[in-house]
Amino acid sequence: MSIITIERKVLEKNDQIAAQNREKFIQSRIFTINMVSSPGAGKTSILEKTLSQLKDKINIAIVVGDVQTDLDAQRIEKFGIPVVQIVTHGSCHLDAKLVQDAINNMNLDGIQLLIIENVGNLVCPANYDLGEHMKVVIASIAEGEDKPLKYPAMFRNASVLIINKIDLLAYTNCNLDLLKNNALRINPNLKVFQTSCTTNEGINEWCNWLEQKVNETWRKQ
Amino acid sequence: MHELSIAQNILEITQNNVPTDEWNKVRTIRLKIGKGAGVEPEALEFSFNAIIEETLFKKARLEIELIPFTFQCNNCGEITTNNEFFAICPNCGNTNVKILTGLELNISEIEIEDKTGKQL
Repeated sequence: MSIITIERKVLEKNDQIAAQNREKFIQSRIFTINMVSSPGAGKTSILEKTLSQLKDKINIAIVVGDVQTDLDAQRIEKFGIPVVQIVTHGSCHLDAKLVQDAINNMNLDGIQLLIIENVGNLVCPANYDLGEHMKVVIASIAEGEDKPLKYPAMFRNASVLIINKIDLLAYTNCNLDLLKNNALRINPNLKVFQTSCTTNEGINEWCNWLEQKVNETWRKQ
Repeated sequence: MHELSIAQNILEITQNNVPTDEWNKVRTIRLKIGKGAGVEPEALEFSFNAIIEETLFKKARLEIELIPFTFQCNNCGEITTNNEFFAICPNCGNTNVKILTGLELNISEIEIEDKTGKQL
């Protein structure tokens, strides 16, 4: 037997394309977030609330990934901003190449914020760098407090945790403090927001924070 | 089920690193996978065996070494090994730690049967 020693990252090709995406975002001063969550946690609802608040203040473009259908893109289109729907046809995550193809088909002139809504899945998207500035993970009250412990990689890789559907707290057994503590024990650097897309609680705080991040990136020459 | 696309990446890297006339001699592909990489070894082996079935690589098998979590406390510098992602410094109780190992998803070695070697 002969042995070839290679020591390579299995996902090196994805990482290379992600680096190209990242370079493009930095060059164009586009703040880019990758929104991840399990299905139904409220990614698209948070996105709609964010667009309502920020679309007249900053220039936003959206890339939205789903396994099937363009229902999410239809929900976004009414805001009159650039949106590309990626249909993965069965694949459980977006990868850097899919995002690269999507942004190559968009006019990003003047865009300050790109929001990538990933496929609803707390496992696979953790492995695939898309070139984003940060991952924003959304966990909803109805999912319970143990999600960070069950899917630690996603919470470790994220910079922001949005705890959504906070209005449902009274109707579930979810322990909010425990949910937060579990997440912070996996990743003590998480910035945490608590939101409801029904009552609008916490939406201002999230949007103000995001707007500030976008402006910081845009000002950099 | 992202193990399938990971299996495709492994096959592609193997093709790029082994001369074409030795593709049918690849026997073992060694991987190092961190326990926090979010990859299920059995699902990966299943996916890999499925995609090589009709190819020159059909005698290749994956050999997976699972890498535990090692983390260093950002407060006191203590290095700890753990089977869980949950990282609390046993020395000072700090949760602000730097992960040293356990997130790997690497291909380390490819073993090829010699020209003189017996067929398996």
